Amino acid sequence: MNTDKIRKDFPLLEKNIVYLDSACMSLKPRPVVEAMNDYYYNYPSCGERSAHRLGKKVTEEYETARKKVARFVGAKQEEIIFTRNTTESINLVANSLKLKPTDTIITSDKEHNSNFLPWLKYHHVIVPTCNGRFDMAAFRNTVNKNVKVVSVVHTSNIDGETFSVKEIGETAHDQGAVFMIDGAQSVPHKETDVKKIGCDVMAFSGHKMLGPSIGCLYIKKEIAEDMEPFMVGGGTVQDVVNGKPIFLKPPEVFEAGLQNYAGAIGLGAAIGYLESIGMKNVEKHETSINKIITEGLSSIKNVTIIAGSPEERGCIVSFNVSGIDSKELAIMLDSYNIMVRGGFHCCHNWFNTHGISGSVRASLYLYNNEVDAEKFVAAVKKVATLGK
Amino acid sequence: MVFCIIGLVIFGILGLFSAKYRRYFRESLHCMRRQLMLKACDTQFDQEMKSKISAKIGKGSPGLARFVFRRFAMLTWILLIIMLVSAAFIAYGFYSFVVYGNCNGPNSNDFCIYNALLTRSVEDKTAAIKPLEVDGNPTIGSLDAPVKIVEVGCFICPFTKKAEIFRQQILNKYGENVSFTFRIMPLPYHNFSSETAEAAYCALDQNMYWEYHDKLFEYQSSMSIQKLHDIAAELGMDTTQFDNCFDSNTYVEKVRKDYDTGVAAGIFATPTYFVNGRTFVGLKAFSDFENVVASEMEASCSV
Repeated sequence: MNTDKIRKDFPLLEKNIVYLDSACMSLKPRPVVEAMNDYYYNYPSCGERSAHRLGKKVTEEYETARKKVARFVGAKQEEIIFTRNTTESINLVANSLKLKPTDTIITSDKEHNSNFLPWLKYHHVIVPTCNGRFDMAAFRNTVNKNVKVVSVVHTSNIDGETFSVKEIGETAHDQGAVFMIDGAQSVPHKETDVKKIGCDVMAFSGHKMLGPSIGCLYIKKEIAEDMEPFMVGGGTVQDVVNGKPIFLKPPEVFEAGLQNYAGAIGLGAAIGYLESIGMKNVEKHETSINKIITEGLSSIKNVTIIAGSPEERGCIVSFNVSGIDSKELAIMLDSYNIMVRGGFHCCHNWFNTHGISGSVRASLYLYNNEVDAEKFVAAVKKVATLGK
Repeated sequence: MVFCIIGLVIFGILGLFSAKYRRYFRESLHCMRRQLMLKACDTQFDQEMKSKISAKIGKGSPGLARFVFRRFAMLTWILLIIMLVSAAFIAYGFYSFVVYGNCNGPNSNDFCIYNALLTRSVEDKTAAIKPLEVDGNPTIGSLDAPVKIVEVGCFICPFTKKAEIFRQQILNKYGENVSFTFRIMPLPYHNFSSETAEAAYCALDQNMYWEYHDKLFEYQSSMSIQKLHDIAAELGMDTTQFDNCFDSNTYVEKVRKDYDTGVAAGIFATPTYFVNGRTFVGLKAFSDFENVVASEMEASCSV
């Protein structure tokens, strides 16, 4: 993998910025921006409605993007729904599955608020994590026939730990539950195949994988056909006769109103970019940079890294410096042109349960290199002297 | 809260010169507003500033940065106290400048920054004034004197009162070489400015102008309509004539014209002096007059 060549596709990196906040929002390479510009300049029209040639071109590109997304995660084209983001994807599922308030939903305690809050209106059971890892024993003791959905994060945005989702899914399925994973931090960084994982539903975002702001939702065909649309309107019906709608089939029935066509087309370009590099290479590269950072941070006496080894954490290094608040540390690193995130990373429940007042998160991607890692470690070393 | 107040002032000033500080100004304003409504500041403005300042200092002096970072709250309190004390001094200075013409107090001639700051505009306005002549106004000394001083003043203006001493000093020193004329310009924002002027003209009818003029300044701080009548009685004037003159508004129109003449000439403060047509605005040191009168006398000799 030629990082120097890759970096040339990201104009921001020419400005001497060390960007380590890709878990929140990744940078966009030129081909992605160009694909979106092409839409806006040359065929900025409605998809799946207008019969003129611009409309047809939009439909064609939009469906091509859907096909690319499906192929990227090992799904069928009709199993992919475009949304605004991962949050909307999960809310769509939480509100479209035919659930009763008394139905049991299981999540881990390490979920992003987006995979935690939508389930609170049901009987929500939380499985704890132990040393950052999902407690399988506790899960097996908890799961039963009353559980309708098991929804867990694939790769945590707190520390990069990846759950054994295949095992969790098998256990969930044994009890007849729908198994859903939050793939926001896994799909952009490692090869992900929904069939191999065995999940029924997977939510993820385009803007964390070099694409523009757009969400994706994989729903297994049989499950999608049994769901009731959360939002309805234009584009979701085949006809309305005597006030009664005849709904389209998935995925269209879940895509109400005009869609983010430019976003989908941009995401298609982003997937093409990632595929040309190879997800195995991306993962390997991130782990190697993570090793440099982990080694450097470990040599600073008042730094504590959250959770396991660089191999386990992949693209994320989460840490604290004693005596300095995580948000303050992130602001200080900004003074060194280093962009990281400090705080609770939208995982308030986990931090509060574990008595940790946030962390600084450096999240890597394919465009980060060894120089970034060294600059980052040097800057942390400098600001860490302000702590205890 | 503490840093919000400091930020409001500092970034408010810096924001006038650079747009990059306006965001901080808006944030400190927002925080202040929330704090005043007893709500927590939701932008972590002080936290951001603490981190930015410490990191900047840390690049040059890690020891100092550590001190600032760990004692930021204490330092902001100290800074706030210094700012408040400075603000009090500035306010006092401004008050003194407005009331006494000098920011250091009534009896000081020390350097005053406001004088320095305002000099330019005062100079421009002074240059624009058209000199006024004697024009039949009350005058001491011969109109043929080589140096003619015309003062434009208001009987209720404290600066005109303070300048009164110069008249006597100049007349004592230069005698027949100077004439001194007093033109009235009643400043409308002073109570009794027009009434005192009208009363002075009524006194002129009885050839008691300068005596009455002096008394008006003597009683300036306790001026009233009754006082104008009392002064006439105190000076032994014909009070019936004075009362008739004053009560029938004999000189209302003349006084209004005096004011209009002053405005038309561009006079913006009293006292304003014209020494052989050269203009001087405001309360001056006697030495300033000495120099001007001496140079005018010299000029008249050489002619």
